[in-house]
Amino acid sequence: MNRQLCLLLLIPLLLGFSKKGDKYISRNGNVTFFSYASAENIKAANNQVLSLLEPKTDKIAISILMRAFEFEKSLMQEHFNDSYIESEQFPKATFEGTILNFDKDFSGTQTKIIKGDFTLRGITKPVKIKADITKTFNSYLISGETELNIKDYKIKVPQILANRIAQTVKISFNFKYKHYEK
Amino acid sequence: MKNSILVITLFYLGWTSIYSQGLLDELYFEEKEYTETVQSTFKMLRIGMFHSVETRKQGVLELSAYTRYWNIPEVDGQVIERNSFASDRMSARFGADLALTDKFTIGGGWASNGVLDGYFKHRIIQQSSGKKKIPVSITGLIGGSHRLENIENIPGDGSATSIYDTSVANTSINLENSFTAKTNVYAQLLIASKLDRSFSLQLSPTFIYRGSNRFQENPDAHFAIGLGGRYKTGKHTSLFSEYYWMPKSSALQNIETFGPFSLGMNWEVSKVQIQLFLTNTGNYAEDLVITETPVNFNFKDGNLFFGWNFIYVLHLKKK
Repeated sequence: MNRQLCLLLLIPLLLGFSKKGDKYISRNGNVTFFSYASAENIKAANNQVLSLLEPKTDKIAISILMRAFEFEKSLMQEHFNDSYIESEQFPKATFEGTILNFDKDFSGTQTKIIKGDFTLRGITKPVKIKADITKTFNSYLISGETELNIKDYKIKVPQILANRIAQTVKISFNFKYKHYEK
Repeated sequence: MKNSILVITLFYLGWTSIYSQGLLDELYFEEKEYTETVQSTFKMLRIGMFHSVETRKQGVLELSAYTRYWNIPEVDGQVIERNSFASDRMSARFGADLALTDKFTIGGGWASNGVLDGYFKHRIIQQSSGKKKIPVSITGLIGGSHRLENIENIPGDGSATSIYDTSVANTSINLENSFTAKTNVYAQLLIASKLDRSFSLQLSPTFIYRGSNRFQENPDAHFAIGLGGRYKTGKHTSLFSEYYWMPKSSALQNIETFGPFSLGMNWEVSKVQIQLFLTNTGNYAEDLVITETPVNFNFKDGNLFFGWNFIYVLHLKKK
């Protein structure tokens, strides 16, 4: 009786192990942001973005380390972290969401909406992002573009710089996933 | 048997609870342990008047204009000098600092009282957090100054009025017969720690060697310790303060000198930094200020100097 109970308990455990193989990871995802303003354009890129994709449940998670953004000018990077994003207090931005109407077996490119919650500077907002999802042999590619209003995340720009930093920041992303093995 | 069931059940519950976490939680485990260098211990190359542990990134040029304003006290109830504009007197220093590499910065300047100064500093240890923790940043600095004209020192008792008392002859404590006689050198070890995201402290042991000595009783070599701090009050503003302490035995013996002190605020945005502060010296070169500041810090005319620093940052090299 007890032995049977043990075996019964083991079944979901083993299922849990097998489930692990259904995930895909991107360890060097790319997130770039642009701020086009009349006086100055600001561009920064981060090539160390982590993301997990679970095609079985259509779920996706992204974690962006703020200190890893690289700017053209070193002082911009310092101000970005110290005065705007406050990365010592909020070291990363995260996204957790679901790909709507995702066909995980479709090989080729499909354009889908990803719906989820984006957290930046401790502020979480629901977002919808259009993305191109491409399935190749044993891997997925996800890329797209979105926009972010800096006011939504309480990023304050001093009045004196109002024409140097755009209110809306354009964000583009590019993730290449491979099978997740620990 | 019962025990083993308990163990298995607990393990099972433990495992499933780990598993039931979201994808994002799973990413936390995946995040490779990352070492992050600590940034912005101080925002600029100087805390206020004296050097900070910071160096600039390669290709950055910092241009600076420092000014000080002060009033002249009355001597024996007599007004010596009055200037209708803002203050009785002012002094200025114009300087440039260039980062040759991410860890090596050089700089120099000219001050209106006829002093040229220059330095180079090298970052030895950088504070970092994360996997590889280093609690402090250490920067080594070597600098010096050369006086085109000799600065006159007070013969008196350290009161501000005696500096301007024309009935007493002022003499320099230094000789002025050769280039080396008019030159001082100094070395500093700048040790700083960003204790939390808004508070940084710095300790600066300093060794100064003066190139000449008019009076036998004065030492040629001086040792001092500087203490500096920065407290971030807003996204773009911070308060700072500095003080240099010198043991009496290391200080000048024939005149009374005091440790330079500053207290002020810092405002930085984009490529500009502005500092407003109160201090007790109108000189700029570190070696002169630390060894030859004749007045104490208080709010009287002749003791109080109002400082205004303007710094502009240029990127000569972009990534």
